[in-house]
Amino acid sequence: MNKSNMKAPKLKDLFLHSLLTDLKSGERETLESELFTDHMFSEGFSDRIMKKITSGKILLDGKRELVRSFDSIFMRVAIPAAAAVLILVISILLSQGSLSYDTLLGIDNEVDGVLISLLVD
Amino acid sequence: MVKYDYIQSDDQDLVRRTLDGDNNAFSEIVRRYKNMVARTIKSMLGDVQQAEDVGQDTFIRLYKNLKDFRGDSKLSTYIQRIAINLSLNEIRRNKRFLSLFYRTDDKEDVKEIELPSGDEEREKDIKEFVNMAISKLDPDFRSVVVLRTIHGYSTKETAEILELPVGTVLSRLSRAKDHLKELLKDFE
Repeated sequence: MNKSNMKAPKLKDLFLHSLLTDLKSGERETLESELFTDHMFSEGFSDRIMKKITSGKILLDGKRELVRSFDSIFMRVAIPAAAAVLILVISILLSQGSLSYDTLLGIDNEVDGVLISLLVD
Repeated sequence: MVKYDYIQSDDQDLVRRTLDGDNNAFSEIVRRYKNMVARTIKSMLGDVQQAEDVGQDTFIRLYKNLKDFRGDSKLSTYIQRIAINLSLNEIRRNKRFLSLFYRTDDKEDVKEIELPSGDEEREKDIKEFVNMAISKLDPDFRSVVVLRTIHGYSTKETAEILELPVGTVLSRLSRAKDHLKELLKDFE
């Protein structure tokens, strides 16, 4: 079988055929070379594992899982949150004409008065 | 004193030596199986940074659980099982997080990608397309396809790794085949 001359439809058929039927060795090699990527880990992969094992860092696995979970969630939350804050600031600027701590916190002078009267009571 | 030859040792010997505290023996296990693990995990998750982390977790999990490895199955089978299980966990975790913010659609359509028109382009793209089609499969189907076609395990070995009955593996393969046939139908 000439690997390089194998047309896409034939490769596809061979791939689908391989799901339920054992391939001959030549066919297997064709699939390996033509269809499947030879994935590898980055340089120093083994050293990083051995370093973790010898330094006892593997005990912190659960903690690392948690950090990784937060990592993956952070960007998804941070960008919409930053956009929301920006929209809020713009809307305050448009409606109030200026920015102050009170307007950012949603406190106006009337509220201050109510609070003071409550404190006096 | 004769130096111990780790490269010539069999897996059982390396396991025994690791359990006796010889980290060089475990280092040889990592060297021996890291490409196999990379292939499994990157076929399951894609070539992403997370795949590297899951790869490390696979060997760390192996190291921690090595005392429970009784040698009933091959060490490679045991490692593949850990790699597949951790990959499935990662996919589920990602899906859970994504579902918090986006509506995830399981039936994403591979046909959305434009097919090349020229014969030469099609030859070049079939590899990309097949790998993409595999990545579109439901994770449970993806795992049987990865073990069966990418690693070339028999259905019995695939069943052993996934701890599933052979009948379930065959039925998943058959359904995966139908799905893949549909996804790749333009390559006629």
